[in-house]
Amino acid sequence: MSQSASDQSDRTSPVKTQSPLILDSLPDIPGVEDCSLRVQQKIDLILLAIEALELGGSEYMLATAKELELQSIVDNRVALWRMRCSNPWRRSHVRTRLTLKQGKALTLIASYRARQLTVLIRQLLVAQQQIQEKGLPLEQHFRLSDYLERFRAHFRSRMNPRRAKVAVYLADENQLNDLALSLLSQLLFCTGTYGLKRLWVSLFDGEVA
Amino acid sequence: MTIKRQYSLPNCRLVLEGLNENAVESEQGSQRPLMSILIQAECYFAGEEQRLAGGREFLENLVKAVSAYAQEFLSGVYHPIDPNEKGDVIQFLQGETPNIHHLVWQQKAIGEGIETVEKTVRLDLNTVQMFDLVEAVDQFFADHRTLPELTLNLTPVSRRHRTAEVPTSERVTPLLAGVGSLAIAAALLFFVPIPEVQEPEPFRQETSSETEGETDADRETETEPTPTPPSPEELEELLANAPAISDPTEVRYLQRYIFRDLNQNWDNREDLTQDLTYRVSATLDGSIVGYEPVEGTPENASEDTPLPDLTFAPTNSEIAQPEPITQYKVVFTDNGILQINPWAGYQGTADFGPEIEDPDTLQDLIPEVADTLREDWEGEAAEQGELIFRVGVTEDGEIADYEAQNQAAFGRVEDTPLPELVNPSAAGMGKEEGTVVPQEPLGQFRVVFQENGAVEVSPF
Repeated sequence: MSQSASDQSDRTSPVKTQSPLILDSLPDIPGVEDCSLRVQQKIDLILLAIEALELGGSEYMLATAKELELQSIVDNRVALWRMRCSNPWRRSHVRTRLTLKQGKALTLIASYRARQLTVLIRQLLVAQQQIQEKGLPLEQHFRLSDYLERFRAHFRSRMNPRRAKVAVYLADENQLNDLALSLLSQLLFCTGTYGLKRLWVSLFDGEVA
Repeated sequence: MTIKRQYSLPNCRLVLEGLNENAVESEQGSQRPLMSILIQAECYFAGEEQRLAGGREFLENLVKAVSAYAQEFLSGVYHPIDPNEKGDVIQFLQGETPNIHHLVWQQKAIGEGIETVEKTVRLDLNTVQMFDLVEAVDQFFADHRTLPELTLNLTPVSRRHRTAEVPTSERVTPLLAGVGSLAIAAALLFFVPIPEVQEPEPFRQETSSETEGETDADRETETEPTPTPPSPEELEELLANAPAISDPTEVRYLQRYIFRDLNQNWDNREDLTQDLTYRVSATLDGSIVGYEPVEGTPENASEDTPLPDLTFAPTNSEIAQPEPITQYKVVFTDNGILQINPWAGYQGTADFGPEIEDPDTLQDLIPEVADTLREDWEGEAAEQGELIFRVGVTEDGEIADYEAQNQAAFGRVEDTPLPELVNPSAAGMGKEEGTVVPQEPLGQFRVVFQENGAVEVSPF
């Protein structure tokens, strides 16, 4: 019931009180009206890293959306998928801009999922550190190599190889691994006390005047 | 009674000891007592003997630097921090690999009213340790019963600080790429035609001297030797002969010089439809000796940049004796902003070269600098926020160097008297002097153009 009510409010007038209250935990960014391509790309990649961490990741994301009462924005798999396709690197890129509300909702989901996965994220990063100190290949660690493999597979199947930057990653497995590891360490920073806020504000670095 | 607060994470522990100003209040109510005065802050890392410790200024600078670096880590965009006027300097630098973070702590000592660096401590933290430090600081921010006036303050940085969209791992290309790029630069230099040295011929001296230069130039192009590809041995030799500039101070001074040079000469900023990225090689006198488009930048796009005009063709003798070079990544962004970063990443800690150490001279310089700046300052540009600069001044009071320290200063430097007043040659810096690093000791000051039109000068 509450779902349809806020759906309507979205169509008629964006009254703040009608949108999920949890969105107010993230500040509006002065001078920013919607998400830029860079922001959309970053959120989708962060979510991609989460999917590589847990099997059935997108189901968990939907469950999290429900738990956070974000159904008016992310109510089903298709809605989530369409929002993520705002990432310009996607094969099925859709040319719509995410609203700030949608951006906030995806950021909330990413940060809550990351927090659930804190132990795993820490383990993988500690393992990476130890393996690299010993000069061994990353594949030595089962869980880590699992994560990297899944990330590469997701990236290959969903990103558009005709985009120059994507092509660079696809051409070199090491670069793709580096991207996966860089996203993994960013996920760690999302797990903290202010991780959610830090992630959200960081998305707009270099986006404001 | 002292109050002790501890924020413990597996790799990092932040311990604060302090007092409550108003002891009566603390005894009322059942809440934890409020810590309103800090006596000592300490920060420990697991498995690391070196601890960080200090007072209020230390803590303020620590939490500010940690918070800014956390954002920088998440976004990959540089976060400048307005340097605190006083106290220990704490800085974080991205290491040579993405999972190493350098913590640099400069302890300051106050002697005769002037702060000097007493000791510099460097710690290398891995990503998990770095995160634990961020989390300890965030838990402290979230604790409203401990120094409640220090809270988390996050704002996104301006697009000026955006480097091209390159993952951090690529920006901090390790040594390997550095050597590779040196080889490319060496090869580039090799292909530059060697101007023939012409003996003055008697008949040409009889003709009008005005046209002499021109004919010389014509002749050179006519007699241009066809470049032949260098043999591997020759290349190796060139590579060995062109050493890299490795002193971080020189690298940073040169970076600022080239930034100013390119920024002042870049006119048609509206014409760009995409970011143009170049690998630029420069020598210590501030000369650009070569550039190369990278990351999909089209070959002919350099026409839209000041690079062709500013590039200096080495002469015969200079090729024979290559000068040390260093390389930068220069990005002309499609929104008209210039960015420059060392190609090999920020390595080591840069300082400001020779410094004036005599406290009396420094004290005398403060009013002198303030007067000079006040004379030429209309006070209009700072209406939208104060402008903070670091200014390097010679013993004679000449301004030889300056650098913006906050975003507002960065954007409105042209509205201040600094570009007019700066005289690098007073400190032996500039193309003519052969180096962009000061040869005379400088006093470093912090200059604030305030919103109300006042100019404030203090030791940096």
